[in-house]
Amino acid sequence: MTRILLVDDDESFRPMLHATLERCGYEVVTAMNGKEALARYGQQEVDLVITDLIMPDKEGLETIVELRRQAPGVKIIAMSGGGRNNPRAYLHMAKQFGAVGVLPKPFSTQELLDAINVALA
Amino acid sequence: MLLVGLAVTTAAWYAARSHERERAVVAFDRATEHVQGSIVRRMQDYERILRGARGVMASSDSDSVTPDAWRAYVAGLKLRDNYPGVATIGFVQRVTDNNRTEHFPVEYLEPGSGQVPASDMYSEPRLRAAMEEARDGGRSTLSGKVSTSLFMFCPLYAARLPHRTVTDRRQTTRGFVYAELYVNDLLGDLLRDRPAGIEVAVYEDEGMRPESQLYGGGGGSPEDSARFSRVLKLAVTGRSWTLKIGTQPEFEASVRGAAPRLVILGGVAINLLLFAFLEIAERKRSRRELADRRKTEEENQTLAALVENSTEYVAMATLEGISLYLNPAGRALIGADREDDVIGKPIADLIHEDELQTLRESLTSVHTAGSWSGETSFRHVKTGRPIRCEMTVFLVKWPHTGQPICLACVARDISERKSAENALRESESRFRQMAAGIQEAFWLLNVDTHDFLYISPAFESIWGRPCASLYAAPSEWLEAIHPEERHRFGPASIASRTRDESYEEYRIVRPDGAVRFIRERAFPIRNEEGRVHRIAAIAEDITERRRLEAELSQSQKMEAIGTLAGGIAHDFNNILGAIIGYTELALMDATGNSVLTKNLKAIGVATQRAASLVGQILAFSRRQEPERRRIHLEDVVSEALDLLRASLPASIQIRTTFDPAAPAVLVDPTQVHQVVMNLGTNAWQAMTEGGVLEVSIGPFDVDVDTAKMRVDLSAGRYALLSFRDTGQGMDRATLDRMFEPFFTTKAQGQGTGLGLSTVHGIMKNHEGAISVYSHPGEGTTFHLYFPALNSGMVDADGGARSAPHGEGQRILFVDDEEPLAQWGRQALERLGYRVTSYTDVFEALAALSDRPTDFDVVITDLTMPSMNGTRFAELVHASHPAIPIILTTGYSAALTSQDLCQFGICELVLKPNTIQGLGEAVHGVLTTRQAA
Repeated sequence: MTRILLVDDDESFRPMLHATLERCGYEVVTAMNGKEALARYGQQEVDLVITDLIMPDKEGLETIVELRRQAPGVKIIAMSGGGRNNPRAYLHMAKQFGAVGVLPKPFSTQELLDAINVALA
Repeated sequence: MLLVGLAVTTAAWYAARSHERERAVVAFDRATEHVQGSIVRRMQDYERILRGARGVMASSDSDSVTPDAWRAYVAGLKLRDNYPGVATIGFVQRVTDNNRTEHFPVEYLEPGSGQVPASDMYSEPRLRAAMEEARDGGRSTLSGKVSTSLFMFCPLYAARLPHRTVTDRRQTTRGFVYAELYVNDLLGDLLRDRPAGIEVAVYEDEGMRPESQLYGGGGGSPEDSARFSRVLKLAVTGRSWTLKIGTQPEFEASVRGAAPRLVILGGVAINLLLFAFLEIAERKRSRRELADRRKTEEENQTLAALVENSTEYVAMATLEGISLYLNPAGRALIGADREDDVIGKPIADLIHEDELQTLRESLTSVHTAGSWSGETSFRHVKTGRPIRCEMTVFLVKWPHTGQPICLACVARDISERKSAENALRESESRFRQMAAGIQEAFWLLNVDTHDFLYISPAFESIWGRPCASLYAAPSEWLEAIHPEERHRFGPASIASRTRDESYEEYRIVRPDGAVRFIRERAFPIRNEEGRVHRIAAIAEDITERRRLEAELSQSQKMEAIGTLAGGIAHDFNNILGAIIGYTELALMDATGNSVLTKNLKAIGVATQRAASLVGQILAFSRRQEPERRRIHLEDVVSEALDLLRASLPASIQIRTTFDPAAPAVLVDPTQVHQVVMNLGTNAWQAMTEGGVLEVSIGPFDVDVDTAKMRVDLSAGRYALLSFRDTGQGMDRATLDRMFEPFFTTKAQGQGTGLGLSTVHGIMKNHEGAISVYSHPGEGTTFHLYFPALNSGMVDADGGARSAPHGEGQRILFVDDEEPLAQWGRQALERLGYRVTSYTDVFEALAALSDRPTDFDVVITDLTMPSMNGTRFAELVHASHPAIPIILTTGYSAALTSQDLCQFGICELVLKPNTIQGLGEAVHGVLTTRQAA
């Protein structure tokens, strides 16, 4: 079963996405921020990382850079609801730093599944 | 004088005497006429008597006239009373005897007391002569003197017989009516009332023989020595008498008046009086003259003292211009210690050489006009410096003859005054230049009269009215104030200004209708007595500041909203994401329950709408740098209009005009797309009954003058995108607020009020500008100015002046956009670097590989289609670790430079590129490398 590391600090969104991924048949490991995500990633094998970008304690872009440094082949999907800046800018930057897919929030379940398929392909 | 008087008296006496003589002549002539006339009239009277008597006789034959009848007739004449000198009146009848000899015996004679003449009067020769003359002449005739009488005969002819000829008359004569006249009585009576002193003698002939004298006057014949005498002939009833009239001393005495004597006496008396009067007057005059002379001497002494002590320059010179006198003040003025320095010398020596021409002209004027006044410069005797003076030169003349005597000069030193005038003039000039240069208006008001004493030139540019209008009508200041604020400037306002310094802000309305905001500081000015008599005020046009404040306020508002929106958007998106996600999960479990499915789907739709709304809020509040690309607006606008057209009703037409000459622009196509959609939607919503939307694109050049009037437009070339609709238009109030976030005129639920705010924000982010023109009922036009590529990318001052310069270091510049690559090369070359630019990443890598030591710095864009910038940087860093790399990107830095250094990226430069930014980045990395 594909294991997905889900990184998001939002207390509403993360549980929802966790439930959706599991509903879609994925095994999910969650982290609330980048720091925790790096710790989790080191603990077990992960097939895919889905991470939010704007988070406290090491935000998503930094997390992506660190993950890719640790594991250059890691597959990462970045997602973002934006903030002061355009989420697309963040997501674009995430792609520049190695994310294989991006999901601007909010997204549908289908969009999520499509992105996962592309990333794992 | 006396002689003259006597001469006049003599002349007057002589004139009086002449006049007297003339009067005597006139009197004598009058007397002569009187005598002459008297005699003639008397004789005529006598003729009438005789004719009357003849009439009596002729009315019947002689037989019917009885002596009684004759007597009665004569008695009726009252000879003694009425005809003195007539002794008798008779009738002699012609009788012819047998011998045919005529006889004329007296038939009738009355009064009877008269001398009885001869029975036949015909026998007296003198009488006969008279009778024959009367008969033949058919008229009364006077005889010569017979004894003491004269006889006057009047012929009587037979009635009804012709007696025109002498013959007939001789034949038809019946007789004569005659009158005997006593000569003495006659002439004595006639001449009784002659003027006194007139002697008359009457002669029967011209010889004036004594024997022919009829009358000799009172005492004999007039003397031949009489002063006045005259001899004249007198025709009297057929006789020719001679009158001799002369005067006697009595007459001369009677006509001699007292005038000559009076004249002589009076004249002498007057002359004597005059002499006496003159003598007295002369003595008085002499005394007076003496007194005047003394007084004149005193006055002269006083005047001399005045001149000597005067503080003004007083001088005298000959008519030829040689100095005669100069008072002490004058000597002091020109620095002459002694009189010898001046006296006897030409006055030209005292005049500064620059004023000699003026001196010549002044002397000419003095000699022709009598005086000259003007300014000139004296010469200081010792130093030669000019001394500016006001001078008057005039001729001194003899009072009686007007003959010029000498020249006089009075002068006053005006050096200080001139200097003060010049200083004042310069001060005023400086003041006016300063006033003209000061942008604030200031004025000075008279508190008592409310008149403006001074208004600076800046008033005209701020108020749009000439200063002269305010001088003429001070009330215009109040009239210029906006009607809504005028009530604040009543008497209480003026009173408060006289107390303390005061501040006011108010609006004015210029004549062209423009409204300006004014900030005014006024303060009172007191006179020596401490009373406030002036108010000074300084007024500043703060319209621009207000606008900027409003803009800043709006900008801050938008910033705040953006911050708020950005802050909540992230959470909202998460919340919405969770709702959507859970809804979809629920939908998965709701299969078979159509109601539940339907409700869950409704939640999904609503949530999508919420997500869209959040997206809009984020869209307008974003402060991101746009993702710019070099495009022609036409491409994006056409695509957007196609999309828009699909949602417009058929009643709305879209017409496009795209000028191929419109320049390319560096814009975010997505944002341009959004602009088109927002403006197109607004236009559609304004044309509720249908209409036309015209969209045009064309080149537009902003010149320097236009740029000065628009704070949001710099001089340069633009691509102008215009939207014009035929909708309901907007009023002033709407236009003023249209770009405010959340401001909308639409009904609730029909618009967020963010559309135009978003457009405004997009134009601002693109360093562009937007203009709107609209009137209610006349549609709306939007003009959007996009800076043309290459026109707005260089800093206004070139940037190169302040950016640090290089020293020929070599730079590899990579950007997939050709214009940006060219610009980067030119900009860095201006800073003194050697630049090689590439648009193809692989060519750039190849160049680096071929010439590894040819480059000191690499600059690369981040977003490139064939290879992103970080990847390129990684490769460059791997092969050339010593070359510092600079990354240019349009995204706000989410990473620090430190984080980027792992890719070899030492510096991050945010787009849009500026010379300043690039220059500092290059200088920075080179300095760091050098230090390392």
